[in-house]
Amino acid sequence: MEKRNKIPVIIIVLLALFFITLFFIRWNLVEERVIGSSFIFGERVGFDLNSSALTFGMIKTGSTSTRTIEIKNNKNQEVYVSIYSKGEISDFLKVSDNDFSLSEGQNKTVSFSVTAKNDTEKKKYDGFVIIRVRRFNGFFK
Amino acid sequence: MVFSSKYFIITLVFLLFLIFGLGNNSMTLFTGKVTQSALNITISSTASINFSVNSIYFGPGSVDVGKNKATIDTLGNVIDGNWSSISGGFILNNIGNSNLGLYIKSGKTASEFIGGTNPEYYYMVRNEETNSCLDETVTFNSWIAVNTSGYGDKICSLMGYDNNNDSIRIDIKLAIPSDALQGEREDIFTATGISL
Repeated sequence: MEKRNKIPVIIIVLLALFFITLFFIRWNLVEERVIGSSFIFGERVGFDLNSSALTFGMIKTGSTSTRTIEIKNNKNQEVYVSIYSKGEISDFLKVSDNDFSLSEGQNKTVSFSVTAKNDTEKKKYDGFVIIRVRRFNGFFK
Repeated sequence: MVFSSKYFIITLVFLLFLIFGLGNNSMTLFTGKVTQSALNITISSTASINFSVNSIYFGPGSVDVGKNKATIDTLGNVIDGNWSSISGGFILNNIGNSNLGLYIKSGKTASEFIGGTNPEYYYMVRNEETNSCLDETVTFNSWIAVNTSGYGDKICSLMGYDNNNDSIRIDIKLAIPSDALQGEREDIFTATGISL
């Protein structure tokens, strides 16, 4: 086969592989939730108990602010939960548990905490917490 | 139609990238689709913020010779000891937009923190801004022995969020016996707010 004939074939094969993979990823994804998150690093300690976002209030040097999220599996099959973060807050955010499975009806409480260090710039830090749920099939987690 | 080994390797690398790259971490390209509601996600109505007593830095010091104990606090008092005088406790604000109940606990008891014979470890609550606490559940402006259990003491069952009335101050007092534990001591206070 001449070279110029091979290239389209390869492109077609790669595209096929790409879409097959995409299909499995999409099929595997059950749900994704994006939750806003923020904290302020300042001179005082302050509470911000927003119920629709993971707000940690204001902390000062050496302080840690902790909040929890309860995750319950309503689906009639086992699922696999992964938690990610995005944005400036990612450098400060710690999660108590990650990459775990939940059986049907099971719930789990996960703690999130932020800690400011001495060299942290005093300002507001924003970001997102992403909770991704996939089918638990042992292959794509 | 036969692939050369070169094209086969390229294809294989591309496939592996798709599986391990996109499959695990790069889903953001494809986010936003919710096929069905699988989860109940509840953000708690509570938050705990801890802060070190060490951040109120009394510095090095000792009990005066001939005295059984020294007393120091964050109101600037130093009695029978040579610690530096400091003024300024912890300030707790409600910077959100909901009223909250407030608890406070210490990480250590007086014996654990200070040691020696009859150590004392107190906190005192007061409104930094007037009417910040609208329902006091401990005696404000009085020294109270620290509590290490559970959330600790419920100090205020209704703390508002008005910008001019949302600030509470916590002061600390220590009675340090002459036979107290030596070396740098540290404790962690934890304030827990519960949205009402």
